[in-house]
Amino acid sequence: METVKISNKIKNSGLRREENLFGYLFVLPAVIGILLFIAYPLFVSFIGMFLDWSKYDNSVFQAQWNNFENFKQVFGSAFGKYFWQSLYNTVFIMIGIPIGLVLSLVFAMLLNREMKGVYIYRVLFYLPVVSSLVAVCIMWQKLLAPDGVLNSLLGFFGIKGPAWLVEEATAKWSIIFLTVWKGLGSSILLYLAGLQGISKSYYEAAEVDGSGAFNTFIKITVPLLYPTTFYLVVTGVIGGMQCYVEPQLLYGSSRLDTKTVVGYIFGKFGDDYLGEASVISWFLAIIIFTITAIQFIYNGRREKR
Amino acid sequence: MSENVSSKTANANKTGNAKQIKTLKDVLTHAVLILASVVMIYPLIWMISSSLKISNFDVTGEGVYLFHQLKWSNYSEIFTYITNPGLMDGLVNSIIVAVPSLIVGSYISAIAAYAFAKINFKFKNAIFMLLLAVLMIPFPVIMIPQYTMFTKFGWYNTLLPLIIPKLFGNIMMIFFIRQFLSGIPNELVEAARVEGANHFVIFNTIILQLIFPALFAQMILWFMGIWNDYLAPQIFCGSAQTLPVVISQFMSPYSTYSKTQLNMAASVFAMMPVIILFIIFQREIVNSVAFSGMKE
Repeated sequence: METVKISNKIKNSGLRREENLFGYLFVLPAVIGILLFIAYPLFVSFIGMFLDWSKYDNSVFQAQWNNFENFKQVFGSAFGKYFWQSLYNTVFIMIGIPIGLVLSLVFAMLLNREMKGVYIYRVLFYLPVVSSLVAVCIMWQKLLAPDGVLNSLLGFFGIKGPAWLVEEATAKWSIIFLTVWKGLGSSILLYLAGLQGISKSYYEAAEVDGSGAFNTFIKITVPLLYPTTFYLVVTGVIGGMQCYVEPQLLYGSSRLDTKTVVGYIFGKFGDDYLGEASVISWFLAIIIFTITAIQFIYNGRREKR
Repeated sequence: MSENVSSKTANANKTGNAKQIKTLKDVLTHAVLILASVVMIYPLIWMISSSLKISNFDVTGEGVYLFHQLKWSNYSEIFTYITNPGLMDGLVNSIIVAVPSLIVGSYISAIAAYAFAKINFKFKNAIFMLLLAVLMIPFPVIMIPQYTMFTKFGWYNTLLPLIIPKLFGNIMMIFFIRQFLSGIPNELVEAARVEGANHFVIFNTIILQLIFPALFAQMILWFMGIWNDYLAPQIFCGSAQTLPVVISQFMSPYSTYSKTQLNMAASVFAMMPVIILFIIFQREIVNSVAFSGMKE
């Protein structure tokens, strides 16, 4: 309403052109930045999928057209199985998303109680979020070492811990643990904001109706927190599909059981198969778009009900 | 009506018994939360403690004990311990990247956000949708063309690939500030327009002050992202390295940096600016994160 009034006034006073001018001027840098550093690279990697393309080419437009050779190499050749393995690893590591959701909801519920000193926990839980990923990888590498702190602690209880980062059975779980530990604080904050947005009258009504605590949680809290859960799942999947730094730093690039899709892209990039790297990166992007779209469609249906 | 009923039941429940149950529940909650906090924080405390140890041997194995040695000189040793690029090079480079990006990029983002929130111009919504779409694009898709582009510009081995793109603004920041501005009444802008001020003047004299607290919280969050970023400098910058890449050398299988206590000290050093900022501005940051989650 207000904006309509203003725009009418502006139209009447003949300032419409000035409005347009300032509008464009103000958003111009952002738009140029997107066109130059995102849209153009996006276009290049798209055509790059069909090119025999090298880092050392003077320009991508001089590269040779090689039809669908890159696709064959990625999905079909003798190396195909390494690609599928990296996809499996990536999806496996995303087990951390539901684990993180459940834990953060539990802690958000605990933090939502009216008690003294409850704020300090929020700050403590958030510290890993702001900590440098490289620094915490260096740290966890030592903590999880065969003679590291975790195994020393287990030793007190007479348990001989494995070499967490070496053995295949625990390597991926170590990454899951690390990502959950690092991300927990931020999802707790979002859940907490969601919980505080739920009107108390719902709970009071439930209490009057004699609803039990667990029943209230399932029937009221969980559905009303759906927007937060939705946001966390979408961002979690987008981030999880792009997991790279943790396995790269902890395990290097030669281990097959921990290499993620993005790790695989880096491998192709390092070996100068830019066309194949483009194919994989678009494959990844399409998976991300599809999953996100499915989530949005599901969300739309849910809201209609 | 229902409020009446509920307040009555609330009053009825406020017997001594209910109070005792509340206290008991509080104690239990604190116990669980303290335990969880220990798990969350112990590793970081351990890291600081290990950075003050005398030798490697004490870091692993028996390193469970905290702060039984305090060798502060580790923190001066790290500057000569890491070479080529050294820790100081990394620090200077990180500052060179962060400062101009933050100042220019935040201003550009804020003024764009102002345009999206308070100016009516043609195709505004279409342009805004374009920005939204960009957020969905995963970095791996664009990183290789970006690499070839930056290399062609002659930016390899410099910090420019980290600085220049950020000068054009930050989309998340634009969203956030636009959201914040939508809560500010349009009359404010309208009145200034009637008095003859143009939008550039209005933004610089009125709006920038108004949004500054929100903008500042976003700037701190962005700073943390820039400071901790490992991926972009590692790909684009060759020998010009920021702090995260400098310390990532410890993780290399060919690493010769075998003094764990010094590796820990360097890591603590690299993350300290962010941790200190977080502790100073935790309220603003926590509120800002919670607010940005509610935009959905």
